[in-house]
Amino acid sequence: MRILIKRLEKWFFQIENEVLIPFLLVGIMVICGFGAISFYSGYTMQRDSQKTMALVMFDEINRDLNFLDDRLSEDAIKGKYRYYGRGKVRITDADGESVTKWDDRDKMEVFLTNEGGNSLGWKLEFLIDEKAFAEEILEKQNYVVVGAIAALLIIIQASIFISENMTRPIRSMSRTCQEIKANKGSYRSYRFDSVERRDEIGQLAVTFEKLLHDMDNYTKMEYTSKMSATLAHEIKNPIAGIRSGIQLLQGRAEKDGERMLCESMIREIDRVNTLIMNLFTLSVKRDSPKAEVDLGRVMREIAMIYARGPEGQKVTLESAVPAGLTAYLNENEFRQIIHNLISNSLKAMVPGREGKILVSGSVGNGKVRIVFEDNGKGMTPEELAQAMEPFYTKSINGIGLGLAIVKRLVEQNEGTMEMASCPGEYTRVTLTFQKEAV
Amino acid sequence: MSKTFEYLIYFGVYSLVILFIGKSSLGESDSISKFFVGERKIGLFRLFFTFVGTWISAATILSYTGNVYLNGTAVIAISVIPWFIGAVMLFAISDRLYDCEIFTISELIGKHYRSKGLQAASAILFSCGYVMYLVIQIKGFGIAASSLLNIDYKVAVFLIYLFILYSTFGGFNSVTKTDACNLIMLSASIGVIYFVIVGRVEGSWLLTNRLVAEETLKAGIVVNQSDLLGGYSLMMYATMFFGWGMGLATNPQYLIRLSAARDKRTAKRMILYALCFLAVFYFGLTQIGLGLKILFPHLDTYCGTDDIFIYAINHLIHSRFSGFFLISVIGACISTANSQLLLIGSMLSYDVAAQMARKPMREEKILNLARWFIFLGGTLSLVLSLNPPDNTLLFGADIWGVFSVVFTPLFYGTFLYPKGTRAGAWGAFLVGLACILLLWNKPLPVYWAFPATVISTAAFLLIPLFERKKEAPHENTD
Repeated sequence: MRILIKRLEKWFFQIENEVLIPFLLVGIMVICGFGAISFYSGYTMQRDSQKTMALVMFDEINRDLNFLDDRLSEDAIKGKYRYYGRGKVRITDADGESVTKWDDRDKMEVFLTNEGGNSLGWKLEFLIDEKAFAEEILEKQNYVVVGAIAALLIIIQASIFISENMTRPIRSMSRTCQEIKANKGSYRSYRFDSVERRDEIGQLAVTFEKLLHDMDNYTKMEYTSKMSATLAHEIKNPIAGIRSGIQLLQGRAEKDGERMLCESMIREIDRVNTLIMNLFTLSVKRDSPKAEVDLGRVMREIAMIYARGPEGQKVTLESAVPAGLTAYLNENEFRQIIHNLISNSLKAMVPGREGKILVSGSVGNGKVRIVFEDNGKGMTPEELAQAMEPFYTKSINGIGLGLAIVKRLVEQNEGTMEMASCPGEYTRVTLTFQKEAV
Repeated sequence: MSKTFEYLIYFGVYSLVILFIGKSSLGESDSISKFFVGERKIGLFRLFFTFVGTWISAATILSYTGNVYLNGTAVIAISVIPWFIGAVMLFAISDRLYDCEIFTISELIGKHYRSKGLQAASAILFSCGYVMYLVIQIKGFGIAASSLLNIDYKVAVFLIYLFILYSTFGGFNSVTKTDACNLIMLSASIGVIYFVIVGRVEGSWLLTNRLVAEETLKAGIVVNQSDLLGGYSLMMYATMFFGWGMGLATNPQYLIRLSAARDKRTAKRMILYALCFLAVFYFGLTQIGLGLKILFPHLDTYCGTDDIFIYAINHLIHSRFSGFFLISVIGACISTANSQLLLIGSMLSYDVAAQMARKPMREEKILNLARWFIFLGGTLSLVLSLNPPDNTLLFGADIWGVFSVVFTPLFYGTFLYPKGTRAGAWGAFLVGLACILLLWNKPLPVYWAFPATVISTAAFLLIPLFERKKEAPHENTD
């Protein structure tokens, strides 16, 4: 019994039924109202028709009684009217005795009475069978009743189809979510059919897909945070000790080969340190102190660092950020943003082609806009869509954290980041920061 | 309670049951596989109900019983025996058909002969046949509904919209559930009526043509139902198999149910159970037809063949149960009609529209198209049913005859003649159509579909031979 009730509850409390039932109730009420009006109208017409018939019969009988009163005895007149009225009229004489002798009239109701209409003082009563009366109305209104039932069925069927159609995409989304829960695979592989709809459900599906996409990134970020915290705790201090030890050994090394080996080991340790720092930056959300920073000055300093360009690469970095262009941000984090972007651009340069990196700046609507553009190999739309995700890289040496860190730092500084690219031509990163503290 | 009010209650309750079934199945039709063949997961009982439900149509209940009333047991030879032989043929090809994993029979033809054109053409021909055949179901529905609701036939037929479109829009699962409900009701009705009628005939529980002749003679009427062939020649009788019999064996209405089974064994077992059930059912209907003749020998003077059964139940042996019988007749008509409408929808959307479209069509679009074709097919049949044929048993045989002529070579050739070619299939299709146009209902010593089927089959077999002969000289020169 309890299982049955649970099943009924599960069946009843569905979004489809919640849409369907109000429709249905309105439909039923309208049709029942229409049916009641129609029945009442039929009843009125039937009653009027019976009333007309009763009045005609009363008039006929009264005239006849008045005519016969002087010509026949009352008993003779009673004899004539004993079986009169086709079973519909009951006649009672002045003494209250029944003149008509129909047996089944006791089952009938008095519909209309006529008293004092004839010289004999007889009372005339028009009788009807209430049950037959109601059935007659139903028979006469057969088409209306069938029409009402048909209309009701159409309303119910239409309601069922409409509610099913409305809730189908929601059910589909619900099903997809259950699949996600069961499989726990990559969230981005799931697709919602409703994304092609133009209504709110379509918007919901699009948002849901975006959420799933982001959720995939958040899951990676969460993992990165835990991993980097462990790394920082377990590796950083021993590595610092190892580095000091190697530096000490380097000072004591006698052969050039041994010194070179030590240098190489220190470089590798520094690379590991950088990786740990990057992971830290990505995983730990800091509330960094901000100030109004002259971006023109910072960019000039950075441009000086890269003035010679990396070894073996012909790359020019040009800063067109005007001096005195200030933004409200953390200077160190801004520097890291630019260093990461430059590092990415350098990796993306096409061998044998002169590389150019142009950084420009402008101000408008209370925002400072920094546009960073290179003429590297660019990205396809698919690559661009994934470029800012952690651990996405096309480089065999990189681990795909550079742009993810840039994004995190920009967000930390209440800024925005947009990327555009054309394969083989350019990649453009547009950063927007607050001009002043809000 | 007045008869009309009582019947309205039956009608209302039945409508609610159909609504409930339809609603519960709507969510189960969101893919082509579910909508057309119930994902090929239909178990034995549901398959049995839908197979028998779609088999027992208005032609079976009204026209068969009416014809038994008029002609006695001779009707068995031109209808039941061919039907059963057709079912045995279905049994024979059941396994091979199941292996094809198809959604429609036209798809099987199209794939086998590698011709989208043939697939579309056969789907269109099947659909036209079903539109015509649906007239029988709508007529049966109209007769029952007009008696049930005391309304004019031409108004009554429009009420079929309330049921067939709704139940068919839910796809195969909805149709199978509706069929199960309708078959249970019909079996109960026929069972009760059988005992009532046979019980009223004094002296025997097994009614025969001889008994009918004797009993009616007592009432002063001479009835001659003893002729086994009912006035037809032996050749005509034998060749009538190419109407109901071969038509059933090539009919997607039954074939697709075999394909929808959970497995091969289920499909075969279902056919056996269905034939056992149908043998009992036809025995009951035959006895009812003969019993009516004994009890009311003059009905044919004021009733059409198809009206006899309903008139007798509604007016001459009326009881509170009569409404239930009328509703079950309505249900039987709906069962056959919705199966055929589903086939119209599936074939025109999947085999015609989707095959002819430039880009691959999404499943959702195909399903929506299927529903539109169901609506159009139903409407067309409804218009045609306003002036229906008098004897639907013979009309139905002619429609099935069309299927027999064109699809006997195309369908059975797929399994039995591996050398069949696309040109041969097209040849059989076109020659078959030409034969139908030339021979339909012509006064011949044999049933018209027989020579037509022979000619189309000959075209199917001979064209590949000519093709090979044409290729042979080229090979020699090579």
